[in-house]
Amino acid sequence: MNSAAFIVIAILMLAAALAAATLRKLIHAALSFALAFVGVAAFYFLLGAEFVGLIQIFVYVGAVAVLIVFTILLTRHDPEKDRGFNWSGVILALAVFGGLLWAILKTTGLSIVPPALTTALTVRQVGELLMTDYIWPLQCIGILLTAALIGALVLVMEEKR
Amino acid sequence: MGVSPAGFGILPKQTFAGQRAPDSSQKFAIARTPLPAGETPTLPATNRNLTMTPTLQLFLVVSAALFCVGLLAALSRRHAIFILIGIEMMLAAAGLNFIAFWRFGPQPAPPTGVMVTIFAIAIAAAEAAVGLALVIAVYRHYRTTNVDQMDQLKG
Repeated sequence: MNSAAFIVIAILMLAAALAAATLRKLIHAALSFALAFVGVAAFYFLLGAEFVGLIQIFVYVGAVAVLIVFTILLTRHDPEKDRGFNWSGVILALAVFGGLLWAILKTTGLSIVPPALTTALTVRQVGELLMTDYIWPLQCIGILLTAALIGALVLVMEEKR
Repeated sequence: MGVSPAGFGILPKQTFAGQRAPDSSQKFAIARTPLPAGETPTLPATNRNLTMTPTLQLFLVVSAALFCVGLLAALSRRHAIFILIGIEMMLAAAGLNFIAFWRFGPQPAPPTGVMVTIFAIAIAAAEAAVGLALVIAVYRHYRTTNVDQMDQLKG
């Protein structure tokens, strides 16, 4: 894990996230959202969780970003009504960041280097755990995703007059 | 670790089974070696590691920053889709913390953080799908996606 990669990824990810949070043009903001999540996936790769990084790219950049772009295209947006920035949100976010930063810097024992990975985490291990220890969460996720799929379809179906 | 004939990077089964059932007293003994008395715990480590590898603290700071950018998007945006994007960013920041704590923990450890992150990503995907469907359904009623104008409970 080297710090040059860390700094580059951190700056790119936070800049893209900030762009997604503040840009006026919706498509630009949606694309920088996708870029921010590529950055998060790069962090997962850096931390040695390659499988989670790949899932992150598949799910967010592949599916959620496309869904967001489609929703932007399906809904007409009037940019004139979007004027004015909600400064109370900025102040609250900065206050929360200050509190978190204070708590992190105050906690001793956090400035440790990562221990060497004795065995790399393989997809086989993840699969075996999903089929043994995490079988009930996996089933619940299956039910949840089915319910979300049906619920999303029901929500966007044409209403009966 | 060489490439096993069964596939790329797949471990033999006994190493995996062996590491998942460690002696529970030994598992925690690796992590918390007590510091020698009189030594400040943070300063020497910080000086050494700033040039070498990023520490856990830096990862936590970055994910806190990502969380607060998401909070900023959720609180100050007027557009419903971008409030949803802010919530997704906050979820991703939580996942980053889980992975970081897994990686910086005592190393032959069961990948609990990885599992939690995988489930969190699945739940976030379900939430995004339902949330965007809600945005479209609300848009049909109000002809707007601006949350300031959605101020009626009746349809």
